[in-house]
Amino acid sequence: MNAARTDVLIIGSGISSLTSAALLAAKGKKVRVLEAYTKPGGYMHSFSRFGEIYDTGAHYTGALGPGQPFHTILDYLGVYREDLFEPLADERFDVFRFPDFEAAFSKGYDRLIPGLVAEFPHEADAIRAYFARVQATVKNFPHYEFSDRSENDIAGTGLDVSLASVVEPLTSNPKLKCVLYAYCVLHGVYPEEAPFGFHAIMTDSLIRGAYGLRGGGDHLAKSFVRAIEAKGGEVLCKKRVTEMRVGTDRLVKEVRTEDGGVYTADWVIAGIHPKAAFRLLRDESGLAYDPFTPVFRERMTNLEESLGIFGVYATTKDAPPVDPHRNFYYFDSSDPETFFDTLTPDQTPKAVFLSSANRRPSPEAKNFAFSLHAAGPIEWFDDWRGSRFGKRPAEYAAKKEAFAENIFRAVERYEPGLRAKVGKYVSSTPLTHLHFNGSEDGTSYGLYHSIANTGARAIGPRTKVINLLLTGQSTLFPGLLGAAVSALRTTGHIIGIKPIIEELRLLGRKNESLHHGSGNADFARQFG
Amino acid sequence: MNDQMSLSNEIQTKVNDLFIKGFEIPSEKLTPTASLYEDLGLDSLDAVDMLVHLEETFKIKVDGERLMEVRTLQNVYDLVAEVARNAGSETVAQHAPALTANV
Ligand SMILES: Cc1cc2nc3c(=O)[nH]c(=O)nc-3n(C[C@H](O)[C@H](O)[C@H](O)COP(=O)(O)OP(=O)(O)OC[C@H]3O[C@@H](n4cnc5c(N)ncnc54)[C@H](O)[C@@H]3O)c2cc1C
Repeated sequence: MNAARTDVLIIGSGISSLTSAALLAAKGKKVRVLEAYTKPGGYMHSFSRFGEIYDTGAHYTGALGPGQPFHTILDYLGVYREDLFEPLADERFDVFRFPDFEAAFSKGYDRLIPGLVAEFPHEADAIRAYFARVQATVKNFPHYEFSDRSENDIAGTGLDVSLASVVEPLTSNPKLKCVLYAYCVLHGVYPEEAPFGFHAIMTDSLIRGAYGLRGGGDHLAKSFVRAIEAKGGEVLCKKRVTEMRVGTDRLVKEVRTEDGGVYTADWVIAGIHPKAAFRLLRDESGLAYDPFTPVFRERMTNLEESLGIFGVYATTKDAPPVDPHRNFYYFDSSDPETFFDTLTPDQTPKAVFLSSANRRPSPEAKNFAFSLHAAGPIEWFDDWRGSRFGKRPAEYAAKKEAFAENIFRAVERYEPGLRAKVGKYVSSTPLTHLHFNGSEDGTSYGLYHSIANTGARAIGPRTKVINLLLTGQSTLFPGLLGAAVSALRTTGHIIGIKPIIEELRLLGRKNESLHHGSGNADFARQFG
Repeated sequence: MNDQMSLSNEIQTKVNDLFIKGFEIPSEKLTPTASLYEDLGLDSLDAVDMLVHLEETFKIKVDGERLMEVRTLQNVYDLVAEVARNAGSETVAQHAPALTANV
């Protein structure tokens, strides 16, 4: 069985790998996914504590309304099911709280813009100009808007330009800047270094269609697996890839797993961090294989990683103090230079993100399950890097607790009394992510998505190893949507992307008109 | 004039250095008319590394799409000179990160 050859082997089962597998399988390729962990999904996986389901890295996502890009991709792959997702509130789905003011984003530009203008009446022109630029920019991305407008793949306009360079000329209002920069929390890149194009896609996708996952990301992962299996593909767990053996012709000949498995395929897609993928390369006799130039090696050595995130997963003994259909961003300062700083020396968080673990609690619910996330770089937990999960010393637990309490304190400023209502909580650090996901330095978002690492300058999808492609958040941009879209680019190198983009465009249009025509969200599904 | 001369010398030296050390290409192959792809054996992945390296070395920011225009070594010198000139970069010799967007 192991020796059976497939057309494509896919390493890892994050959403980028699963999207690649589902798309290739739908197009007639025989695919096999090899996942190290006990279940598929990567950062999409959910876990249960205190009788509640919590998400690791799928708290909310965008572009999921009928006819919108993420919805269309999932529907095209036969993965979309309405009961997987829960729409967030139309009004004020993302609330940004600062010490001296509050602002919010509402669904759709026609709600969003008047809402912000009401908040910043003197900045009406800046607000309109900014969001016009966002909307115009996202149209240049063929893998998001499914157009053939850009001939140059995804490296089109907007990626060489920083977010700050777009915002600065429009407004000098520090509060408005904070609001327009707030989503930097979602990719971890400073406004001066963040490619405007990706920030624009994240912003646009959330404004158009922000949804939470109903019942946890595991369901979405399972839906992917069903779609892959229905087309004859396989998703194998507990298969940690330890080596990719490459011949003198620069083709991967075999992929080996920890349990002694040997797999062969025409193509290999690695849905893991590029550095981790390159570390797996061996020559045919099993020695380290390095096809790279000194300049590339230097680049890889100097590559910065994105943010490490600390998470708190809690329940209250009381009814929800906040609306579960909303997210809350609590900021410690409204200085656009520092409000989003991730490395505060005293380790007090600058920005905390609160989201509900259960987006649809029963109306009589007497408790509230939620998570809090804040920057928490692995360096703060360096002392315990060598320790094993489940066997870490008491000092580590004490440090986690202290840090969690810092986060609670930051939230208390805005939600007084919340801490007292919290019954139980657990927390996670980048070491947790390292253990469960193997991500480089336990980061949440892959490599640091500055202009220097994205668009035309990105690592991947192609590599010096001819039949090895990379996919995943590090090759494009982070988030479920970014990682899924990265798979369109990657698989395009195997099956050609243009016809698929055209089919996606038609399906998106059809779903949109069905939605508008019938007034409900029950769509005829073409594939699946 | 002298400044310009020394700037273009510096660009040539540093670009050649990249090809010699970064891409392990023998210096005798580095003639201005040498084609990056046919004569020097680069591929499109190398071209991206070249771009990133040049941006860091010269503290400039090049529009990614301009890579398409670059065929020869001379084209590389010219592109760096043009972008550095437009950016008013007086600190071309400095080593600095490439992230200060020039917009
Ligand atoms: C705390 C946190 C909060 C987040 N919040 C959000 C959010 O609210 N919304 C959003 O859209 N995004 C969010 N993200 C980001 C999002 O989860 C990721 O961008 C996305 O899931 C990454 O997908 P991926 O396919 O690139 O890789 P991953 O999900 O990282 O998958 C990689 C997979 O490869 C496996 N693997 C690694 N090495 C090997 C090997 N050698 N052999 C076999 N398998 C291997 C891993 O086990 C893992 O399953 C969050 C992330 C984190 C960590």
